[in-house]
Amino acid sequence: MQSTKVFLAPDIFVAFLDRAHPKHLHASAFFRYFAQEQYTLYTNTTNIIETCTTITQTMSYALTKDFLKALQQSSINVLYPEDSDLRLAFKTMLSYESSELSMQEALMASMSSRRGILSICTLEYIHPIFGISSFYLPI
Amino acid sequence: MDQLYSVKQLAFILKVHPLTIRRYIKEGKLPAIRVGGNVRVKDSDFQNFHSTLSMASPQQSIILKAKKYSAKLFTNLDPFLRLSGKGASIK
Repeated sequence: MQSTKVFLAPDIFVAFLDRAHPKHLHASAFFRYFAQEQYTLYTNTTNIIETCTTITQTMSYALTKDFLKALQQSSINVLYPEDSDLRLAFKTMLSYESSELSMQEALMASMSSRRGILSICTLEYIHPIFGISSFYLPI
Repeated sequence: MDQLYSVKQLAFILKVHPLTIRRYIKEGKLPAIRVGGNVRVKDSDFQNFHSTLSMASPQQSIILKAKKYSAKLFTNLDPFLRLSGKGASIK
């Protein structure tokens, strides 16, 4: 049975809000599918901060406020990094061979793996750590 | 007459350190008596203690775990869905 837990990356939020984004339709399809299948969605505080920064820079500050308001009422679960999550992320970053792994990606992977979330919904490349894969819509 | 257990025997049965048994006795969780300067626990007292131990601990841990990981489901009525395409980036 496929897991119904998905971790949301900041780029998916931005693509969903921005109708001029080349992947806006993809992002909308993801969210429609999650709502239809009643998935449990997760994100973390650093992803929210990054999303807010991107929205403010590329779109508007008013939209950032709307995003935060909607997130407050939404059933998207916001996770807070614990001490052990940070330690695991540091360790992963230090031991990973590729220099392309960012701290945020490492933290996202460590938080999702520790909570049994096996897929991350993103439009970018996912580094193969902790057996976490990118989320794909079933055809 | 009830059978009596020593601290060592109880530690062996519960697979804990004898000092853990002595702590339970000191905290009043496990009633004990003194027989000639030695600590002994009655079988009935031990059975009572054992039943509370096996009943209380897992239930509480399950409740705490459920509280910690109670997650909400994303549905069609979610207010976040109303934000779809609300902004457009300036290039």
